[in-house]
Amino acid sequence: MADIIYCECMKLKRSKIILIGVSGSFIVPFLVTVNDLRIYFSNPAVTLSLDWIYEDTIMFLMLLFGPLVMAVVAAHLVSREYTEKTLKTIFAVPIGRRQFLAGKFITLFILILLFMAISWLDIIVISLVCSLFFEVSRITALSAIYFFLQMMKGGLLLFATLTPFVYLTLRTKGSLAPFIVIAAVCLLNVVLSGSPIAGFYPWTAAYLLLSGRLAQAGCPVPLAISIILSVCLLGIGSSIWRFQKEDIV
Amino acid sequence: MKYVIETENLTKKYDTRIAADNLNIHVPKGKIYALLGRNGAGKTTTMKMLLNLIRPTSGSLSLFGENLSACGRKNYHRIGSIIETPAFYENLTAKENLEILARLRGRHRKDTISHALAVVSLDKEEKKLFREYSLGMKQRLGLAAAIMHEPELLILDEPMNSLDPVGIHETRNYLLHLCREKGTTIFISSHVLSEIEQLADVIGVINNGKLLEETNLQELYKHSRRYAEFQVSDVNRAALVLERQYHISDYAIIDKGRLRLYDKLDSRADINGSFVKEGIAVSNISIGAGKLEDYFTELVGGDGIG
Repeated sequence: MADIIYCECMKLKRSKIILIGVSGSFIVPFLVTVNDLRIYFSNPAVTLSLDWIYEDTIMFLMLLFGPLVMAVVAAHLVSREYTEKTLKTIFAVPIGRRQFLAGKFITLFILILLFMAISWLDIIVISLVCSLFFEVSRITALSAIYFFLQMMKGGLLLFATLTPFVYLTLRTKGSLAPFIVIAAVCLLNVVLSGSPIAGFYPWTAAYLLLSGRLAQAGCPVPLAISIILSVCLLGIGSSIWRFQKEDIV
Repeated sequence: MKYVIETENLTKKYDTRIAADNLNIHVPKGKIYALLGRNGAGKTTTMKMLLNLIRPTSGSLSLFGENLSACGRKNYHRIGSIIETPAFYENLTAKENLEILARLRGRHRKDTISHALAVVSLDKEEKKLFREYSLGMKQRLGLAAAIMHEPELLILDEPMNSLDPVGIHETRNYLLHLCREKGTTIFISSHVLSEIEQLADVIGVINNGKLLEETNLQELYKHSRRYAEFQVSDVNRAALVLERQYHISDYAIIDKGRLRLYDKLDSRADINGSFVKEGIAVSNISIGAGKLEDYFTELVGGDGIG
């Protein structure tokens, strides 16, 4: 499996998708901070803090930006094998189809964690830079570690809710359908995020679970976890089922 | 083990279309077997079934004497292949692409990649990205990927496509070298008869998914028969003369003015006399020998292979 993951990483060499992911991971905390600074300057009673930047960043990452970019990454990992017709080359080696898919899922998971870690690093760096000019409270090592762990948890939840997009890519052999569906999912995230059913909708439930606001949304934690887990297993299971019976034409 | 590849009633159906119809292929060990057929005859489908890329609808296949359903993927390490135009990761160099394949295979010598690239004369282009390669270079990289692990069996789907004449010559010589010197079994497909004639020991002719003939080259040459060609004013009446007066049925009407006679060639002077007597004008008689190409045209029932 280590070789398969190494090869998956190698396939991404010089790939623009990594650039998109990395620049996206940088830009979210930056834009969030710009907005927070705007509020800070318009309302002197407000204090800029690491918590505040983190809270806003994680919200945008979990509800809007993260699903969008990570679904694009997931679709790219799989769809390129169809568009570049490389499946016939890889499977003639041969490797097993389950192994191949496992490699894709693990690589996607690693990339999501990597992008979350970059965002975390960006939050810390931006907060430190801001603290040189303004007062930014609660910049402590403990907070930084806590937020890092939260970001990793967020990455895990994002991964869990994005596995159906691998199936969708396998089903359509392209990335257009996943792009359209993830756009709809993100739109629904925005619409549902403050509604009473937010806890039952997997993609908003992931954010509410991470931010500890599930109770406010009226959804029991075990139920939200079950919903997210079901989406994850459904995505992985249906991908394996689909890919196992597929002819490489 | 007599046959490296053996299929029994191998069939692939797509909805109503039959891409491979009860194929019984026998590829002897250490020989070059050419699957010859027109475009869309079922060559690639057959090769993809052999490589387990597509699943047969029915029938069975054995590789290295072991049934595929029983032995699984274990024998595929002994196979190298090219299917259609070779496909690799476009953002990677030739060397990186081969490194991926070598890593996935799990076992290889350190110099495997550079040796394979040198064999196909791509060693000076190893740092060029695959997307910058010409079609011929892509084909050569495909060959490098197929031979890099020194397989016992090569499955090559039209490997000469897009190669320049020198490339075709070199590839042909290399494949002959692999087969004759190293005992590699080669299963190659093509729609170009002249290419196959120079390579193959055994030829299988496929058309509309059916294997029409499986024979060795010597047997095939027997089909290139001699004939007498008459250029006449009325081929239908000439045919009647042949059948009624000479009881000849082994002839072919080529077009509305030409008729080829394959039987009783020595009687052509008498036959000529009979034509004239029946009022059929004969403007030319010539003796010729059939080409293999004509035989294949006759066999697949079309107007040319490919």
